Amino acid sequence: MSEQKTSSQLLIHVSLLAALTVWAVMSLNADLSKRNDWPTFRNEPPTVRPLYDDENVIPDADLEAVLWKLRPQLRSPQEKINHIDHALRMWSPVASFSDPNCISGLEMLELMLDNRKFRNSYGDNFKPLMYLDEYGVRVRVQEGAGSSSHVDHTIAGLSEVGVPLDYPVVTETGETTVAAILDAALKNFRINQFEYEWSTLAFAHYLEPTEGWHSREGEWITFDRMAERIMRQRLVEGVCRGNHRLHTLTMLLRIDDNQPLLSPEMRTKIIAHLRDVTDRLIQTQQAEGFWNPEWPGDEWDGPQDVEGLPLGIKADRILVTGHTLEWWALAPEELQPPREVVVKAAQWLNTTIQELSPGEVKSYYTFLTHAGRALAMWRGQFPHEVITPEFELESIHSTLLPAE
Amino acid sequence: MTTGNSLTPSPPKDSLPVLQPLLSEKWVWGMTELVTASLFGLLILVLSYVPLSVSPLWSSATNFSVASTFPVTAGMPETQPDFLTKVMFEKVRSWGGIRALSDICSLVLILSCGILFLAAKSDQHRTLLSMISVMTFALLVWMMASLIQPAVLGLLCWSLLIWVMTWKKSFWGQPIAVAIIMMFWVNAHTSFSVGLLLLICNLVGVTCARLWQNEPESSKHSWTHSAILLEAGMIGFLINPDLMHRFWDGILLSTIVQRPLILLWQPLVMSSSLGIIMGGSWLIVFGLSRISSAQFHPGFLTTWLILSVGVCVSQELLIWYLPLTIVLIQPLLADVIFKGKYSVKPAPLKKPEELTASDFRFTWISLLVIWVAFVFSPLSRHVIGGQPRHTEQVISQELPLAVVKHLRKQPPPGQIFHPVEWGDWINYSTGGRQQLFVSQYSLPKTPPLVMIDYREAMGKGDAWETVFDRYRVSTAVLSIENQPDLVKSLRDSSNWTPTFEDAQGIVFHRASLVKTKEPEKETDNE
Repeated sequence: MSEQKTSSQLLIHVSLLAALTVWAVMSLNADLSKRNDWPTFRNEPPTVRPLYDDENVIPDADLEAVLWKLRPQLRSPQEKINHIDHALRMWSPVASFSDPNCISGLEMLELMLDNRKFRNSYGDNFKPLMYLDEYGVRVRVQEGAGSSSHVDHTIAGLSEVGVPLDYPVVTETGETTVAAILDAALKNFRINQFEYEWSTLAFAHYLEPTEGWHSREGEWITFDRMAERIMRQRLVEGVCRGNHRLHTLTMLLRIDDNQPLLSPEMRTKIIAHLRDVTDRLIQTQQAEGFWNPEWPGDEWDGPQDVEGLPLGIKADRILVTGHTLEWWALAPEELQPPREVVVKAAQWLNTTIQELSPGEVKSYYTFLTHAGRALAMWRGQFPHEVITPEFELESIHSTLLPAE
Repeated sequence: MTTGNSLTPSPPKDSLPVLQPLLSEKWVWGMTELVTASLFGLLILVLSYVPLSVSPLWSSATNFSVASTFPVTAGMPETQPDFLTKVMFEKVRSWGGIRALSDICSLVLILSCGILFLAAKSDQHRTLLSMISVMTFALLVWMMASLIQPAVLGLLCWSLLIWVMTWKKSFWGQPIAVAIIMMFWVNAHTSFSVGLLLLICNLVGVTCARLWQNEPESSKHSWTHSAILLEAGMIGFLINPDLMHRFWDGILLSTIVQRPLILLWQPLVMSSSLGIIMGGSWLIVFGLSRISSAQFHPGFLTTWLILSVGVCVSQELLIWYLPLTIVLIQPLLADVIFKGKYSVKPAPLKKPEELTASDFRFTWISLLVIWVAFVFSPLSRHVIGGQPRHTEQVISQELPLAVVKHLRKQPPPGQIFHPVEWGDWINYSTGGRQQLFVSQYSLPKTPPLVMIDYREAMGKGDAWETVFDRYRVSTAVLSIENQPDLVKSLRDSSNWTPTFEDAQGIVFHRASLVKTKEPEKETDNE
C-alpha cells in the first residue's frame, strides 16, 4: 500500500515537473522563434544600372582601349582569388574573351563556387575557398592567395553581377547553392563587425523587403542601422580609403528607389552625408583631376595622418579616383558634382591607365577593375556590354592586341 | 464628587493584582542573547556605513533608458529583468537622493544578514554561534563592498530562500513562501537562477541521500516535499510579464552566451584574499565532515558543491557561495563545538507562570543595545531626525569624483570611452546627458563584439586606435591605476590631449576638438 502511494506520488511529481519544464521550454521556443525572424531571400537580385551616358567623360575609343587593357588575363594557376573576385564583379559571368590568356566570367564563377575547379587550379596546398559552418557556406578571408580579401566581398560581388541564389555551389562536403553563402553571411553578421560594407550590399540585393531581424547577438538589425553604422566612422576609414562605404550607401539609395529599405529620415541623412562627401571631393580634387588619399580634407576630428599604399602614390590616386567615379556613376543627380569635375577625373584616369605597364596592371588589378567599371558606367554600360566577342573580332583585337 | 467624609475603602493589600508578563518564556533572554544582540548591533553599524561604490545601481536608480545613454546597445532587446529593483531604486533616489540610496542598500543588507542568522540558527539553539558566523559573513561583505551592490535585492531573496528551506516541513507554508520569493526575485534581479539552482539541487540531493542512505520517505528530508518546493519555485519563476524573455535575456544571452566570454571569466586566484577565504571555507567544510557526527543538508551540500566550482570560474559567485556555506556548516560546527548537544533545547529555568519582570532584564538590555546601534546608524535619521551625512561620506573614494565633476563642468560632445566600472557612476552623475560606452548595468544589453572591442582597446598595443575610430570616440576617461597602457598610448599620441587629470583618473579629448591644451588639474577634493 505504502509502495503504491509512493509510486503514485512519484508519478504526480514527475508529471508536474515535466509539465512545468515543457511550459518553460515552450515559452523559450516561442521566444526564440520570435528571434529567429530571419528575412526571406529573393532569388534574383535587382540590377542597378548606371544613370548617365556622357561622351565628354570618356570617348568610346578610349573606353574600349582602357577596358581591353583591363581584360582578365588571369589564367595562370593559383591566381589570386582577390583578382578573380574583382574581375568577376567588373566583367560579370556573361563575359567571354577570344584572348586565350583571358578567363571567362563563367570560369571565374566556377573557380570560386566549385571546389573541384578550385582544387584543379590551386592544388591541395590551399584550404578550400568555401567551407561549411553551422549556418551555411563561409568564404575564407585573408588566408593567402586562395582566399577572398574582405568579409562578404564575394557574396556582394555575386549580388552586383546578378548571380541568382539557386546557383550551385560545390564544397568539399557536397553541393549546395549561393543561398547558403548568403545565409552564413546573414547569420554571422554583427553591426559592429570589422568589415560590414559588403555584407550590407549583399543583403540589400538579396533580401526581400523586411522591417528587420535579430542578429545572433540579439541586436535588431535594419538597413537604417546598417547605414548609420556605415556613416559612423571617419570618411577615410575602411577599405579603399572609405570608398566602399560610399558605394554601399549609394546602392542603398538606388535599391530603395524600387524596394523600401530605408526610412525617409535615414534616406535624407544618407543623401546629406553623400552630399557632404561630394562637396569635399570638389574641394580636394587636384588640378590634374585625381584625388589623393587625404581626399576628405579635415574630418570631424581634424586632419588625419594617412599612410600611403605600399604600391606608391600613383596606385593610391587611381584607387581613390576610380572608386569615386564608380559610386558617382550610380548616384542620383542631387549627389553629382559639376560635370567638369567628373570629366577631369575621368580624363586623368583614362590617360594614367593607358600608360600603365603590364606589370602595373597586374599589381593594381583589384582597384583598376573599379576604375574600368566606373568609366564604362559613365557611358551607361557595364564593361561586358562594351567589350563583346563581336567587338573583339571586328575591331579591337586586330588593332589593340598587337600594340601590347 | 467625593467629600472628605466619604472615604472609599482601599482594597486589602493581599488582593492587589500581580503584574504578569505578557511575553512567553521564549522571550526570556540571557547573556548569550545579549552578546548576540550586541553583535547584531555592531552589524547594523558596520553595514549602514558601507559606502556606495562602483555599482550598476547608479544606472538602476536613474530614469534614463540604456539605449539613450549607451548607444552601443541600440537595437538590443528592451526587456528589463530587474524592473522591480529599478522601480524601487528610482523611487528612493527621487525621494532622498544618494543618502536614501545608501540607506536602502544598508537596510536590505542588514535584513539579509538578519534572515541569514535566522536560517543559520534554525536547526539548533546556539544563537551566539550563528551570529558569529553571520558577523563573519557581514565583515566579508563589508570587505567586498563592490560585490554586494549589483545584487542587493538578489542577496535578500537568496537569504530568504535559504531560510525558508530550513523551515520545518509544512505542507503549504514552505511552497507558498518559495513561490512568492521566486516570483519577486525573477522580477528583481537576474540572479534568480541561483535560486532555481538551489531548488533543483535540493531535489537531487535529497533524492540521492534517500537512495544512498536508504532514508525512509518520512524522514526529515523528503523528496516529495523537495519536488513540491521545486514545482512551487518553477511556478513562481514562470509567472512574470515576459515569461522566458527573462530567462533568455537575463541568463542565456547575458550570462551564458556573453558574460563567460567577456567578463564573467574571472577565475579565482587562490593566493588572493578571496582565494584564501574560499580555501579556508573548503578546509572548514571538509574538516567538519570528518569530525562531526551531524549531517549536511543534502540540498545545501549539492548546491554548495556546484557553487564551489562556479566560484573557481568567476569570483562574482562568491556572494552566493558564502551565505550558503555559513548555513551549511552550522549544524556540524555546533555539533563539534557543543559535543553533540547542540540539538538539545536548554530547559527553561522557570515555569511560565513563575516569570517576573526581572526575568526579562537581558531581553530589554539586548533590545536597548540594538536600539542604540540603530540610533547611531544613519538609518535612524528617518525615524528620530538628525543631520544627514555629507555626500562624500556616503560614496566610496573608489568612484572618480573629480573626473565626473570635470565632465559635469565641461560636458564633452560625442562618444566617451571609459572603464566599465565607472560607467554607471558617470551616467548617474552627469544626468544621463553623456554618450557612454559600457557599464555594469548596460552589460547584459551590450553586444559581445562591443565587449571584445572594449577589451582590445583597454589592452596593450594599438587596437585602441581602430576601436576609437569604429565607435567614433571623442573623449576617453581612464583610470590611471587600472589602464596604464592606454593612458600612456594616449599621452604619446599627438591626436589626443589630456584636459583633466588627478591621482585617480584622466580625461583625454581628440586634439582637434580641444581649444586650450593645458590640462586642468584637480583643485579640490569634491
